[in-house]
Amino acid sequence: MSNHFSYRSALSTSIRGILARTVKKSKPKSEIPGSQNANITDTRYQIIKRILYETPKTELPKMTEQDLERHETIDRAWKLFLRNQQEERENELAAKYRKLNEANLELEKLGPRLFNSAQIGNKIMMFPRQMKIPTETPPLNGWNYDYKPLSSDPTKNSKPLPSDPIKDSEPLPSNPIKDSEPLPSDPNKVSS
Amino acid sequence: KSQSDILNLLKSDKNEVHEGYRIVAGIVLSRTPIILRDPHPFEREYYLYQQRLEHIHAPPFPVDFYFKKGSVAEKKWREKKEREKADALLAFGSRKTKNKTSFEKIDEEETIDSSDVSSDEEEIKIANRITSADLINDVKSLDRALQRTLYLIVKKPRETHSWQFPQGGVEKTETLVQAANRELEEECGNCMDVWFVGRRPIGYYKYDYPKCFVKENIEYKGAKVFFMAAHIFAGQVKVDNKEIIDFAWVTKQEIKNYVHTEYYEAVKDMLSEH
Repeated sequence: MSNHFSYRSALSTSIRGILARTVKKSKPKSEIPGSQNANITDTRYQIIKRILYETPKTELPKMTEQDLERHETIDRAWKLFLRNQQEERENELAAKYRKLNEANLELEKLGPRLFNSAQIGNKIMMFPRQMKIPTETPPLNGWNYDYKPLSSDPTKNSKPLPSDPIKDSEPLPSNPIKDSEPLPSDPNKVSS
Repeated sequence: KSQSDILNLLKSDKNEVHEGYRIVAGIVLSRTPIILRDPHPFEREYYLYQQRLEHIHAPPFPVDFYFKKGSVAEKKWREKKEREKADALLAFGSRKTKNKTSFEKIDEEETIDSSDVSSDEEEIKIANRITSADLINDVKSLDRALQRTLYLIVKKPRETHSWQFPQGGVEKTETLVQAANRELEEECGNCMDVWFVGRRPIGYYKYDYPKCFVKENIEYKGAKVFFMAAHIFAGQVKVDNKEIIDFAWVTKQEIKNYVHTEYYEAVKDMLSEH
């Protein structure tokens, strides 16, 4: 194996350095960013430095006694409001859980087949892509009423075995080539 | 007569029965909220209050950092600040002025349909939070009550207890979810993009049939309904006019107006307030 880095140049390193420096055009010091002799009229760096190092600290608001009392009352009212909201949410969830628990206990009484088939879960929990979180405003086109089921094959009326609707309606297969959303051609269009 | 007996046997073999009760899978099909909730008036006021405090005590805004000296944007910014200053003085002077300050105007702008169009900016279309379905109170529409969860209830062709969640018997060869899926398709059509939330039931309701009721020549005492949760993402219900004749998408509070009180009491804990 030949060592590629052991060749010797005709010129020595020092001579090569001198040659390189004569060819290369160095920037004037005033153009090198950050240098002390930088162009004085270029205030951008001064502005940045000022913002970073010289912004005044935000002091606590100076409140009179009345102001303070008012502020504290508002604060307590807000905390109470949040607490009430939280409690409502918790109560709703507790009620839902109670119903869920009751339903499953009753299901257990019916026998092993139905109960066991209900308790199994998927190893990898997946949620459908269509399940979207709420936004500020609704989509422009509103609700899509024209949904057609995927398999509209008339010859496939009766399925040989009952299929598991959870497995079948799994999130759409993520084929990056086929199923990727088309890039918006019109940059002004808001996607629905 | 023996033929009908054999048929009855076959039919009884198909359906799941327990202690004389028919095992039934019910479907709680929900359309989750599409838009965020309207803020509570106290929330609005509190956020306004905090915003004012911040404005008063914030360090000076570095205008020269964000706006180039002598540009149009800088000019607009300075004009805006002048107006805000004038309004702020008004606001703290007399709280009962009818003229809304610019702070409150900012909040209001968010509720206006179309955004401000300037010569440089492109117009962005925003849909209204309150839809036409809201105004006419169309219970079949899925564009109504966008902040709330809507649940599907169907009407059966009978006098009493007509409105309920769609439900149907579980067969001996299938699981609860499979039964729920099948019944939903049979009763409400297959033109809906539905996803069932897991295989566990979320609620249980047991009721007795009235003494005169006999289904398919087999005597049942009543039914045990196991409700399955599902979400709808697209499509609409199609009544088959055999088992169900009508449907509605209603909020938890509105269900009370359709459904029998006993049923509502049994079912309400499964449903969301929002």
